[in-house]
Amino acid sequence: MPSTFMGIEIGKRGVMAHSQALHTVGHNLANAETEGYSRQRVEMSSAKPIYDPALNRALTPGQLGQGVEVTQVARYEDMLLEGRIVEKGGDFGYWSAREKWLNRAQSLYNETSGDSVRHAMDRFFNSWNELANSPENLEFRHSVVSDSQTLMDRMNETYNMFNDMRNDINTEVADTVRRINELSTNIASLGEQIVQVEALGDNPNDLKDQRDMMTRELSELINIESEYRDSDEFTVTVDGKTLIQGSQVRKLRAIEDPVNNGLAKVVWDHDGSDFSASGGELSALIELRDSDIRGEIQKLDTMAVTFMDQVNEIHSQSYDLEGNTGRLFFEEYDYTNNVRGSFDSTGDGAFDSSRIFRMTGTNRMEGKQQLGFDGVLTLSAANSAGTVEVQYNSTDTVEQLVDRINQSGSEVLAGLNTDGRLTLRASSSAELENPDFVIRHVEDSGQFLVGFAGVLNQTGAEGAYDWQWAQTGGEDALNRLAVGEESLQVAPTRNPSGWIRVNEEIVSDVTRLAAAEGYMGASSGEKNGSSATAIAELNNSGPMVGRVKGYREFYGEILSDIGAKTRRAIDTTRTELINLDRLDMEKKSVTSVNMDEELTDMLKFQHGYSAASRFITQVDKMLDIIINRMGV
Amino acid sequence: MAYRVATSMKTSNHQSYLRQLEVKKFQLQNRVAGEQKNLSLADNPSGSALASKYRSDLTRIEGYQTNIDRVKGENQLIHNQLQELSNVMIRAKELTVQAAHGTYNPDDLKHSAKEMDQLIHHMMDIANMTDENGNALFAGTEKMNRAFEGYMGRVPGGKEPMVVQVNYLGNHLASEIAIDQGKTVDVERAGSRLFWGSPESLYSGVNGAQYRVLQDTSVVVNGQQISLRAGDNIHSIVARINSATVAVNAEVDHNDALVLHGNRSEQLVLQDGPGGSVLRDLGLIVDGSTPPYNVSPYAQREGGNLFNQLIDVRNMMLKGDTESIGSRGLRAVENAHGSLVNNLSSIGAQSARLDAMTSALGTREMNIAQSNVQESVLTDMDRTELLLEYKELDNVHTATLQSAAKALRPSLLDFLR
Repeated sequence: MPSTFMGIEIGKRGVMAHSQALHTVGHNLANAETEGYSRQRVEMSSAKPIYDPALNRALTPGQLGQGVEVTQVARYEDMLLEGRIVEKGGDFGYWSAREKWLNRAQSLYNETSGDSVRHAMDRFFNSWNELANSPENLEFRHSVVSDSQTLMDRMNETYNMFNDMRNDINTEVADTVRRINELSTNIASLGEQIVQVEALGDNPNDLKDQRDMMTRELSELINIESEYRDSDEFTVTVDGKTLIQGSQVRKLRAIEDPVNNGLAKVVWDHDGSDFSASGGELSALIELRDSDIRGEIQKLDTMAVTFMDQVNEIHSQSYDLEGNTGRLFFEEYDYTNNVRGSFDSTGDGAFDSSRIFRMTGTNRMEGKQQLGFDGVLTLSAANSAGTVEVQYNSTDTVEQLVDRINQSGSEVLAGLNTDGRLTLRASSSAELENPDFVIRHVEDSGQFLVGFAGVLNQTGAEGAYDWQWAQTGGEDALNRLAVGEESLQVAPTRNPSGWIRVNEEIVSDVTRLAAAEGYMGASSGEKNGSSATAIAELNNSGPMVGRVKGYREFYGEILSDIGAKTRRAIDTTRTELINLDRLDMEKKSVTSVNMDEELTDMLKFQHGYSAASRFITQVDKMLDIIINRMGV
Repeated sequence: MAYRVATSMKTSNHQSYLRQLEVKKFQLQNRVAGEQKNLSLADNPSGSALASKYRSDLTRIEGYQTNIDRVKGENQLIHNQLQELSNVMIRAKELTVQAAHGTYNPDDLKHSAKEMDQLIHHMMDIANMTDENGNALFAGTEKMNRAFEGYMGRVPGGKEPMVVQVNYLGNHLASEIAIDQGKTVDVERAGSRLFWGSPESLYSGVNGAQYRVLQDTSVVVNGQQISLRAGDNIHSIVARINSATVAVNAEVDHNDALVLHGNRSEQLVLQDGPGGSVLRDLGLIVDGSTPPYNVSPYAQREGGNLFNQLIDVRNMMLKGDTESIGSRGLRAVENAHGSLVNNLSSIGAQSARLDAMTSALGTREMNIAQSNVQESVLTDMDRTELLLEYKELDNVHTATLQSAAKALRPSLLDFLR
């Protein structure tokens, strides 16, 4: 037999359940525009009816309903979609970071505004051309010097801007590592709270929203995958390695990398092993810093170092107005301070390696000349073996072999100078641990570099030149060369594009600028401008600048390369954003608040509430009849 | 697609569209303001690179044009001077022809000699012309005040001191000026060619029959290095000089002495190669003086600059030696005038080459400009196109805003009391 007041109890339950539902509607409405909020719903079910099958059950037809009760406050979620968003986040983070920095990098070339290195270089060559007309004229000499200084300023400036950018990116790498650690710690501690709340049987909806938000933020920084399979342990992995497992976090650490100028290297904090990420902002930043921006600096350096070498080569053989010769036009700031390029890399007080940028053979040759013998060249390269082999046979011409060397991917580039001698120049190096512009290994199994070009003394491995003296039996590697110090150019120790300067002696006195070629060991006269013409013609003769022929082409390639990279980053970022937006929309479609929906719910629950109240009133009236109006 | 629309989806959708539109509008505005089609390399990577190359090419062509204009200007100046010189030479030739007739008495000849002397002075003035900085025009690539130096002395038959010898002080070198990619012209300013009356010959007085070159060395003839091998005798030396491209022929005379004949009117400039002594040993040059003043006093020299040749004729007139005037004198004056005309025509030929080059560069400039039609499509702003594009975006923007206003406003809230 139900109690007299059972109606009131049922009514009360109705009122309470509906008011709770109304509060949740209020919570949803209040958070309608909250980023990452998932709408919640109060799940109601009918309360447990009476009676259970038992001996003490009343003899009435049953079961009798006891009203409503709230079973849980749940949130709408789609964990599959959430997982895909997290997966996609890495791609977006990667490309948007690239877009941001490459966009800045390409604007540093100033090409579209006309105030560029290219413009300054055109002016430089033109002023030498003008000087060739009246080499005795001091005004033209001044203009050559000032145009050269402008070019140097542009190069130095561009280098500084790129270098600053590299340092800025480096700071951002360290910040990102800090942010990743912070997010991972927060995610883990949220996970802990979530487990605690769930242990009580409650649903930590808002905490879960927060965790989703943070995971999503983390996913843009590194390429992660999230795992919800074990409800007690939320797991985040990076390329298969665990970053977060429940309340456990593996942190990352940014340490100084001695190989990379002390820039930050990311390692796992727990065992110090290298951290490598394949996506996300962090990997984009590292890639930008060590590949893209470093690449831009290397290109500038390649241009500066080749340019300086070629102009100096002509200038030092030419004569100034006073009849003096042997002066360099560009000063070699921060070059290996030793004519033989000997270098102490271990700091133990003894030379152990040679840093040579260019070696010029002793013998003259013709480009169309056939070799007449076979052999294999072994030259330093950026691969696992550290060298690349270039075959040549007797029917090859010198030009063909030179082209083959330049196409072989070796980090030693060949060319014929104006005298028809073979020059070997080092390129910038792809690997961080190898210094730029240093010839590391030159070996010939045949006679090309030996008797023909006159670079090496001996064929085969025993005659090979190697920059590390440990490879040449501890003796000075230069002893393996058939050329003297005058045919060598030592390598720069710092970025040439940042430190190249016009020789102060020439700036202070322009008569020292050498425009006249020599004739029989003396100047050919103050009015001879043939050397000025030769320098101006460097722009046209198509010298090898890196792997490209001529400064015009090299610079054009720099521009189209960075332009295309940026274009790709912009386009891919847009695509990734659209993808992410679409997924986000799909998720929002499930989880976000719709006000109309909430308002109709509000009406519904309001009516439910009113009805329950009304029911209580009705029961009250019924009780009033029994208690006050029954005439007992 | 069963799709439930959350309230925030509407706003964020609109926001994202509006953001994209505004970015596009901002970029367009910047382009219009910057008068450029592309603001960054990424707008058109290959186009920007091409444009940069074209700009370089144009600067380069401008440089060549400037060079050509300068060389042409200078050639014009030299041409005018040589033309003036040629007029003087014609008068000198008339005087010589008249003097050679034998109808003039010695007094008449002295009058002619006086006029001839004046002509020589006039010609020296021309040869010592300077540019605006006071540098000699005709001293080769040397910077000096005068190209030719005259020495005064007494001449038999003359009353006052007169110029007896004229020496060239400059060098025989030319400066190379670039006029196109890989193409240069020599700007000829050497008095040793322009004012030379006849080819020179040099006769050694030393018998070279027994001479052997002791080690590999070289000789330098008119600036060209000719290699000699150890063991070469005088005949192989002759053969090597003759097979070289220099316009000088060598021979061995009946005394087994070396003789060099220039093929064109220019000063012979002889030197031993570094460390060598072949020409010295063979008696053509001596140590201690710089070429071309190193000719051995025992070697006999023929030909020379036109001043000295006219001085010879003048001296013959003063002496009254009509016979020599008619033979040697007239031939020398004829030769000198011939080589002058030759020089004039070679300057004319160079100017013609430069004219052809100017027009070739002009065509190249046009071609680049035409390629630039494509390039300008890539880089230069088309205002109409940009403004139309902007207007279109503006319309889309307005429409988006209007639809946003309509779509976002109504909600159930508006109808609840």
